[in-house]
Amino acid sequence: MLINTVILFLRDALPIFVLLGLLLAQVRLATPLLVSSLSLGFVLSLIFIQQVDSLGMLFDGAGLEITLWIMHVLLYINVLLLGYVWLGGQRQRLNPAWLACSLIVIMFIAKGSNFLLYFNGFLNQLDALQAMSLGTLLGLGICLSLAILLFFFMQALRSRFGNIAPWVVLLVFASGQLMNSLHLLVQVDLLPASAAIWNSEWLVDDESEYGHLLNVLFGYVATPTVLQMSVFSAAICLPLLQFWRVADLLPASRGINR
Amino acid sequence: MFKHIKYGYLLLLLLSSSVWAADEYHIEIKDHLFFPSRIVVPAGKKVKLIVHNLDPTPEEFESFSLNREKVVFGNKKVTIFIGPLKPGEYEFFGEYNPNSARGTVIVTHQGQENKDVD
Repeated sequence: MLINTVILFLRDALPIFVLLGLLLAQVRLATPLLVSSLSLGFVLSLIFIQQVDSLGMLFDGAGLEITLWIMHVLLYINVLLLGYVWLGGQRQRLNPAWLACSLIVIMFIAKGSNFLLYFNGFLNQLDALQAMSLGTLLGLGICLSLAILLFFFMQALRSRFGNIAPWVVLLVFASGQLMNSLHLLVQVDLLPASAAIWNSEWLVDDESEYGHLLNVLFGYVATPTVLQMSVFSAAICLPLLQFWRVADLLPASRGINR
Repeated sequence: MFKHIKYGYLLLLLLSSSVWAADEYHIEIKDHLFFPSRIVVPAGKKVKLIVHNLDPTPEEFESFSLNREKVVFGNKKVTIFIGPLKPGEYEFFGEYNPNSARGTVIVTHQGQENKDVD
C-alpha cells in the first residue's frame, strides 16, 4: 500500500508540481493567489470525483474521457494564451497571473482527482490510511524536490535565453499532456487506433522510473502512434512558427523582465 | 450551445468506428483480482473489454502496453476498446492494487477464447 501510494502520487501529482515549477519561474504569483488556486483546485477535484460516476455514464460511457480530454485541451489553450500575453506584451489585456491560476486549477482537477479517488476508496480502512498518509508524505517530498529543481532550472534558462525559453519548456510540457490525452478518446472508440511508429521500450520502458518522469515532462511513450506524434509535433511547431514569424514584434520575448 | 455539443458528438461518433460491432470480452474484478486473468483475443481486430468491478472499492484498469487506463467504481462496469493488436502478450493491472490485480491479454491469430458475442 505504501509503495502503491508513492507511485500513484508520483504519477498523478507530479504533473501538478512540474507545472508549478515551470509557472512560478515565469509568472509572479502572490502567495494568497497561489494558495487560493490550489485550494480551489482541491475543492473542485472533490466535487469532480463526486460526479465522476454520473459523468462516466454520459455519451455511451465516454463522458469521463471526453471531459478529461477537454480539460487537457483547455490546459494547452491556456499555455498558448500565456505565451501570447507574456511574450506578446499583451499584459494589459489579460493578466498572466490569472492564466497561471486557471492552469493550476485545471491541472489539479485533471490529475489530482485520480489520487483523491484512490484515497477516498480506502478512507474507511485504518491500516491502509496510515500507509497511504506515509506514502503521500514521501511522494510529496519527491515531487516538491523536483519542482524546486525545475524552478531554478527555468530561472537559469530565462536569464540566459530570455522569457521565451521557459515558455517553450511549458509549451512542450502542455503538448505532451495533450498528446497523452488522445488515448482517452481512442479507448472509448471516438478516435481510431493507429499503429505505433516505433518501439523504444528497450531504451526507456514506460513502466520504469525514467519512463514515468519523461512521460510527465514531455509526454514520453515508448510506442507512440502516428496520431500522437502528429498532434505533439503540430502542438509545438505551429505556435513556435507563429511566434518566431512575429519575433521582431516581440521585444518581451528577449527580455528578462518579470 | 447544447445543440452544437450534440452535433459535435454525433460527428465524433460517425468518424469513429464504434458503429461497427466489436467482439466483447468480459473481465470481473473480485477481491482485488481479475477473473479471468488471461484473455485471448484475435490479432488485427478491435475488441471491446467490459470490466465489471464486483468489489465495493474503486479500481483503475491500467495497461502501459495497451495504453489504456480507466477507473471502475465499486459495483459498476466500464467499456474499453483495445486493438487492432499484433500477436503477443499485453499486461494489465489494477492501479490501486497492482500486486494482486494483474492480468494478461494474449493476442493470437486464432484467439477466440473468452469471447461472448460475435
